Amino acid sequence: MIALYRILLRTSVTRGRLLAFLAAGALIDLIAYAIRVSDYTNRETSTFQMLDVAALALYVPVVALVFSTSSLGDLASDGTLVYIWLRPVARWKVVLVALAATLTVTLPLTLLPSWLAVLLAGASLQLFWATTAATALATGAYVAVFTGFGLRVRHALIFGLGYVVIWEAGIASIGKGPAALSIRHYAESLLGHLSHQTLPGVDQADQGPALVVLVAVTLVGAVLTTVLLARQDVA
Amino acid sequence: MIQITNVAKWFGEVVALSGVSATIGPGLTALLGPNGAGKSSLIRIICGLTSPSQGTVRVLERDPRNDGGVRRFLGVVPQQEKLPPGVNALEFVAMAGALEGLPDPAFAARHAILTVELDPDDRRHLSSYSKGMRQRVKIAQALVHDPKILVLDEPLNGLDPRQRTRMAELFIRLGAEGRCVLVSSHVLEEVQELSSNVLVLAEGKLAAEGDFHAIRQLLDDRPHRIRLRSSDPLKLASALMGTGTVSAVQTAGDNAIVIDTWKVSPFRRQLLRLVQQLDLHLLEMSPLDDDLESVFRYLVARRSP
Repeated sequence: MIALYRILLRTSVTRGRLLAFLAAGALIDLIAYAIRVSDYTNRETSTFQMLDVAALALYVPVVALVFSTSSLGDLASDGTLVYIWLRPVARWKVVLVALAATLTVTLPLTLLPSWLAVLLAGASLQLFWATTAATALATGAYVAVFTGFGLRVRHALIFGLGYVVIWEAGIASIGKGPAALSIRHYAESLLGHLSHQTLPGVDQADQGPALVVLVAVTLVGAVLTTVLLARQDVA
Repeated sequence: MIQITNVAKWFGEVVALSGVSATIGPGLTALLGPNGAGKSSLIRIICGLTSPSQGTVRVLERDPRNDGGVRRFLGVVPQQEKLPPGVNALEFVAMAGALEGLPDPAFAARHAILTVELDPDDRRHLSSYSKGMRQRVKIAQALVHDPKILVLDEPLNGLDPRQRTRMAELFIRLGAEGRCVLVSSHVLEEVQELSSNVLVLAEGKLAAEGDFHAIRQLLDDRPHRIRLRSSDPLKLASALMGTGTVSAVQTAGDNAIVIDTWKVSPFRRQLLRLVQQLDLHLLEMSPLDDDLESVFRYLVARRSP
């Protein structure tokens, strides 16, 4: 399975993608540094809000989307999935390896800029750990969902971007109903509870349910991807 | 080893396969048909890559779509040319071996790559390989676990004549060793080299099956339409009607006539005799329906009730 892991990693990781997201991550860090030098009174809250809006609502889902949809999705669309699909390997193992390969690149890309942002803003250790938990769990959930999405949907990247921008970053922040169907809602709730911060005008989910939902979305995403892979018509 | 029973496959309103039944045993069998005949659809169904819309396929008496265990016995060369990016031949074939659960995938991969006459120590990525080399890598990954059944979709595409011959010899040897080897092709001459056992697929239907020479004879005995241009077409037309080898003649302008015949060889002999005897100049002789498409169409029409 190590050979499969390496091939899946090489399929999704390109120099262009890495550079683009390193630049985007650096932009978040730049904003964090700007908070440090401009806001002496409310630095913790400002950093928390910036991480929620810039990282959890946009950066994390887009990073997960790009690498997840290309993992098995690119193989399906260019026809090379056949070389994996035809082998006598349990489908759940293939999906687990695909998720592991995607997380290998997405977790550092989402966690490092978030950690650096907390440090550069001069925020508390509490926010550091809250950011770590919320970002890691949100990345896992998005990766699980988008891997199956990439396998099933043509032009998954475009539709996924629409979903992230319109739903996760837009509609989900308007009301309680849409928020309940948004990964971001549970990630920001977890971030808020663990860092003892609240977002103005936002109904947060409780800490326990937020954690459970993020883990459940990850598991359900992985299971659905396994089912899709098993039933997939392969070119 | 492979049992195909009344298989049909359609995509929306497009019928790719219709009522195909065949049994494929050990040895080499060629699946012949023009592009778009349904060969790849049938191969994908045999490999379990898609399910038939109707009918059943059994490979080693198991359902290849739902019984993953049967894939251990299958080696497949798919039609698409693309190979995974960023890997060399050894890594790619070793991955196939590892996924097959081989104890030493690297060793098996080296052996398979050498079998197709490539260099396992070539560290270049597959994207830099020529079409023929990529085709041989595809064959190597199908052979790496020494499968009982090999399903090869147009495996000789892109190979130079020497490699084509070498790979054809390999397939013949693998078939002679008792494996079930199914090779698809749209080239009649290629199939002639490969196998005496042929399935002919055309317009999604099994147009003919059995010994290649019998099918070849069938193709030669079909009605032919030939255009002849000569110095005196009317004289030639009336002389040809008297030979008994021509069923119809029509003028086609530009000193040309078009004739229909069921007896190609006697017709040719008579034509040469008449041209000499009547002191005519034969300027052109071109078959109008000798392309594979029309040949296969004839076979389908002949088999239809």
